[in-house]
Amino acid sequence: MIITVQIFLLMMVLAGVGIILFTRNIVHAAYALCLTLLGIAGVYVLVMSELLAVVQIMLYAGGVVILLAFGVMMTNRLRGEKVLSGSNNKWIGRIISVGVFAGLCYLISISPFQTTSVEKNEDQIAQIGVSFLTDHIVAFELIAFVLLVALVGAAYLAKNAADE
Amino acid sequence: MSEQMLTYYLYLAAFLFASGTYIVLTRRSAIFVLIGVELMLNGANVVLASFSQFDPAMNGQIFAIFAVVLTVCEVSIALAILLNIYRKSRVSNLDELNQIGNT
Repeated sequence: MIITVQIFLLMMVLAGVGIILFTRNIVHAAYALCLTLLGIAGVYVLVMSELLAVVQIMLYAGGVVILLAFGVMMTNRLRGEKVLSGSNNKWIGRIISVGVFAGLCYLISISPFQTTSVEKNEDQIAQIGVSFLTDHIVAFELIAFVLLVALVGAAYLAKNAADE
Repeated sequence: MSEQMLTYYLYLAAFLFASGTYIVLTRRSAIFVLIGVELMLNGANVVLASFSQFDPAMNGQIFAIFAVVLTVCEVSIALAILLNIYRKSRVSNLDELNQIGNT
């Protein structure tokens, strides 16, 4: 049963990444990114990170893809034609990315991971909330500050752009 | 969850990271480069989450949630900057962007 789900999620992720790699249309790439991110959310559920899966669907698949679509709308001259974009340095990019992939695969294959079985945590979200406010309180407060700065900064930058 | 399954998830994360590297290195459009950065960050998050299942304190999952929030901030700021650049110099490809400031 679970192998079916795994194969389905793997196909989702691979199809999305393949479309992003081979398309020239930015809008198609944004929707393929949405497919990939939903597949990765499923992977998060399979590795028992349910809260991260929900955050992924809400913030990435909901927010980032919409933001990218708005970015395509605002930064290209739209006159009804397709929004295409080429690439350059193709061979250097292929060599470097295949090298990165081969190196990471080699490191994974030689690393002896010792896995211990942890019993499944039933109230995972409650425990994460408690550890946000106890163990990771500094990071939590800093991320709140960063969110405020990002909000004000993005509004300021967009206001300047609108004034031009 | 066995060790074999863990290495499969790590291979998936390596694939995502390498694809993101290729897109960042080769694409001309700034939006495509942002998509590549998203893929790389997702690869890192998959690694964090797949190791987090062996940790009773779930530190990897918490770090991944922080990383997701930071990525959303980064994308919003980057798109605002791109919008400014486009309004000023009508450029949306990174290789045509050879000057910044009020020129």
